[in-house]
Amino acid sequence: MSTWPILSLLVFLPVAGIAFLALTGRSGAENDRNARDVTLWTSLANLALAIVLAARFDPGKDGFQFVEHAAWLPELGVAYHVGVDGISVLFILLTALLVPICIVASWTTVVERVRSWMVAFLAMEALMIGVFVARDALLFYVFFEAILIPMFLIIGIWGGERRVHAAFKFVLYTLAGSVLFLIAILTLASLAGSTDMDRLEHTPIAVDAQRWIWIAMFASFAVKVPMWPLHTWLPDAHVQAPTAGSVILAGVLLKLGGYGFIRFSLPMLPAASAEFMPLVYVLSAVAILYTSLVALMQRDMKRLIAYSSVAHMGVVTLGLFTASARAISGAIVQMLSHGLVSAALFLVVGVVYDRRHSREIADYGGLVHSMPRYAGLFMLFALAAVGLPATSGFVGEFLVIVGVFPVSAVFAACAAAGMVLSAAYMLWLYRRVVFGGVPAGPPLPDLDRRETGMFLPLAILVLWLGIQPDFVFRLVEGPSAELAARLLAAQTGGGV
Amino acid sequence: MMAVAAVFLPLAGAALAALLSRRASPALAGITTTCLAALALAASLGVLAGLGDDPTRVSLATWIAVDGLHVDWALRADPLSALMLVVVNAISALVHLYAIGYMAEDPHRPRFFAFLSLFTFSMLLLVSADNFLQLFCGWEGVGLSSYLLIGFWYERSTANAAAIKAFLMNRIGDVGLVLALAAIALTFESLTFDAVFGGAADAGSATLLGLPALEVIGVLLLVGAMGKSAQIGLHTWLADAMEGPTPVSALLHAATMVTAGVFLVARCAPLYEGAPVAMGLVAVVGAATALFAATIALAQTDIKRVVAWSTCSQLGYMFLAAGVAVPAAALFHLFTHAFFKALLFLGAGAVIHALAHEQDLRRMGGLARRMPLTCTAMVVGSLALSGLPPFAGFWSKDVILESAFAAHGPVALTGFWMGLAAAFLTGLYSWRLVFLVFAGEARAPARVLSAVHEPGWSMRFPVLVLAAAACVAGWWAHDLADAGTPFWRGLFATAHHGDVPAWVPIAPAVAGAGGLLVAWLVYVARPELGARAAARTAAVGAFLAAGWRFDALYDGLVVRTVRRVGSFLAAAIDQGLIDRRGPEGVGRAALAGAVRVQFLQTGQLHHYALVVVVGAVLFAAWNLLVGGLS
Repeated sequence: MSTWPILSLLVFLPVAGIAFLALTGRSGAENDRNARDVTLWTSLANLALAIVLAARFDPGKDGFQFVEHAAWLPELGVAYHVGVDGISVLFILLTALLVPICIVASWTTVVERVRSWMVAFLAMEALMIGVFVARDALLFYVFFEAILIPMFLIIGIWGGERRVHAAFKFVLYTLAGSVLFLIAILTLASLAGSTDMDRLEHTPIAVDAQRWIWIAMFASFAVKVPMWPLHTWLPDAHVQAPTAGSVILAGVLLKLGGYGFIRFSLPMLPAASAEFMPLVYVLSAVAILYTSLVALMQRDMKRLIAYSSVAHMGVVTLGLFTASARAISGAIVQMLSHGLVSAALFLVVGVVYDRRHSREIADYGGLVHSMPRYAGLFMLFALAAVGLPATSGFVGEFLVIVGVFPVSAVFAACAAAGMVLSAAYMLWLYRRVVFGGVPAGPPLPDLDRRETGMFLPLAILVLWLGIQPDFVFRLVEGPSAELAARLLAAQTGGGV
Repeated sequence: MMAVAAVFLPLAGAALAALLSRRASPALAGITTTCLAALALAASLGVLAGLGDDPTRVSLATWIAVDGLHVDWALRADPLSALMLVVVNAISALVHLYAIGYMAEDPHRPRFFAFLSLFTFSMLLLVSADNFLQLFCGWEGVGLSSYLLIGFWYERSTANAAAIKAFLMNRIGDVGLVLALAAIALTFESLTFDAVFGGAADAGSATLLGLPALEVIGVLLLVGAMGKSAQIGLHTWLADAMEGPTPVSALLHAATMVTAGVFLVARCAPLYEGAPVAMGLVAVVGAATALFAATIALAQTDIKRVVAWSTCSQLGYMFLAAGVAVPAAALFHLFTHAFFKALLFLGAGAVIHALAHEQDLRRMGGLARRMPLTCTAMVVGSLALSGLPPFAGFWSKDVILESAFAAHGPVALTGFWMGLAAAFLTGLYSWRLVFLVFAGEARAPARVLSAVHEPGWSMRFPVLVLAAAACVAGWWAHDLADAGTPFWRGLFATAHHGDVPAWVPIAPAVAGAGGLLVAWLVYVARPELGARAAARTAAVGAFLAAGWRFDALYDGLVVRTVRRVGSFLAAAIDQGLIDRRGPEGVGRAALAGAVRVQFLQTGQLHHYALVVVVGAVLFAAWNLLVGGLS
């Protein structure tokens, strides 16, 4: 199909950027500037490459495209095998978009160990894209786990006052789940004689075995999503992470859990997925209602948004485990939307944190008087989080509700009730931070050009996805329908 | 295309006003948006004039197309949407014009006009929708714009609280609407009106959750409509919405928000035809609201709140009409109500403006001589509201009550009597307002009184236009009342109601006149009588003034519970149980365990040697005795 390995380029271009960074000096203003420039241009080039990929991708075709295959450990059936379907293309776009935004966001705020910071972000980008292109389970696992290292450093070195605790909590918690994931992969590989994901998808597995493998994988993905009650690492990690770290964490890393469900649990273990559906439904509904209520009572802006993330991801998991192409594609759109919106909301918090060095809601009020542009953009992203139609937040949520309703009106109602609660905590947050009388003290300056620049693409995409989400649906419809069909077959007794 | 212009010109106005906020003079925003609103009105008149026998459809773009569910951005022109386009744009244009004068001193005018036009656009999107999803988009846009406008004066914490309350109460209704949409998508496999209403006749036997599908859909739609139209139970936001500037109230009450619920129920008339229980529920909710809100209006002391509660009550009439299978009558009342309610609000705004932002009826009085024009306008508005012939409200209220009577059935008949009682109360509270403001002696301080004046031209002109409409609209447009007239082009099924006794058609007007007389007696002729009666029923008065204490109930029952549960979950469960016993607990246990076993690591070589020897002996013994490794 393609004559040049575009997927490998996407993975290794950031690595080349790291090599370039190695050429710059360790410290000093000039070296810092060079490091920033190199990283920004590298990530922008990767974004351009991702757009080329999306443009050349043919949604009309079944199966994976731009496939590359190279032997790695042939005696074990392990290979460097990459390829993309519509879902991967969208997540690659999301990743490639958020990384340059993170670089811009930390342009003036990260002043220590600039070069290391940039290396960490480029490494993150390479690994994240690696996850989204991997078609070999072991390759997937390597990328999936290696991401923890740069994220650990980002929180642990550039984070807040309790950064080390939060970094360890994040890494150890996710690692505990990952060990089980590795065992699950090895079990699968021993059953199929290969770690090739195409093969694994077409290997029938006995229901008993499916059950155990499913649980092992669930432990890993549910922590990543995170699903209730495995979510308590998230608020701590977000609060301690620097702004750009939170953006990547909320924007991409939380999607890895859902992506894992899409690539492993649902297609490879449909019978177990169907069997455990009630469990997932209950946990998702609890996540939506419980974490929304918890979010309502938070006094720290970042904690509030972190909890709202858990609630939004509850809608995602609810949709993913529903045997309906509407619900599954809705869940994927919701993941993308959440990637944009929560990223933007963490940037929104970061902007005022940079100005006043506080995350406490009570320390703010009346920002609209001196920051009208900020107030407008904050309103847009808050509304998207609330799921207002014509923003990206609505489309996914609505399709999940429509897809879940035939299965269970009660769970659809839970998802719908989340609409009320999300409006409550977001608007209350907005009111306390932005509205009110003229605050005491020197007025905070409005967004400068750099800051406006990092919000603008997110704002445009949030509206575009809300009004014209067609291109997304064309990409996800096929894969979603296939997943839904597998799940449905398993439910109706097709078994393996 | 006319329809496109009618819907999107206000959006252009909103965008321009937002852009103008920084560049040009603030006055320009008002003029620009007003002109565009007027153009939109002209375009919607064009749409109305150009209506054919069948609905036409302008498709703009695909919105969602996935798994067989296809939804477009599309505009629909049929008698119902054309009528609503005209009403919304007419009221909007007049309110925009009025606001130029009313908001002349506000530094944030561009933002105000941007929001006002956005409000209009959202409602236009709602009424011109060709499918349920676009309707929902407009529906939520209306909720958003009202949130922004009620909270327009964002320095005031009461305004912020009212804005959030309005949005949340509406969202509670929206849960019903979203689930209704899901139920419709499941039952009809489509969300476009044509497909759904076309399939409604065949869906009579479909079931959902073991119940008739159409009944389920009907009830869920009603929940949504109740939120937006402030029907009993989800009504508490409406009176608080008065925190917004008065032009907003006029627009919100007459055209762009609370009528959306009535529109929804009327639009879905084909579904309700197959859902008698849900339809009965619509009638019950409507009749209850009509009477309930009228009693509250009686006891309010804030001029705007009297008018606000009257809206709530009049919307109840519209629901009653829809609930007794005469949606055309509901829309007729919506139409006449739009004019006289906007008139009453703009008149009240003129009074408030003249009295230096005084809103308390107890500090008004005697203004008839000082503001003859406004007084005349308010009198006309009140005549229309209390349903006296030949003013607008007479025609439409009459049709509704007559239809309720004719529909027989216990529900409809109860609705008739409740509506009739409400008609009496309507006469009473609307004339109480007029007499307290304009008759008797002036109770405002002299300093304020000396400055009382009639408003300027931009505020006067809309009031005059609306007053004229409140006089003639009912008589002129009474074709709207009957679904069988050529105007409706067969959009609604015609109800076959029997004849009614001769006293029924005149009863509403008599009741309204009775209310007027009592008001005159109590507030003008024998005020001491009124004072004595008020003193004797003070407890009832306080109960009514507090809106039957719904707010206190919700605050205690819901708001506080949510907060208490939220804090409990956040502190005790999330941090206390899940986190401390979960990851943090495991971490601590691991540390503690490590401390406990660290005594093994003494660093003394002979200790280790001893362990090795003991281990080797035990291993050998086990091998010999048990048979070991082989």
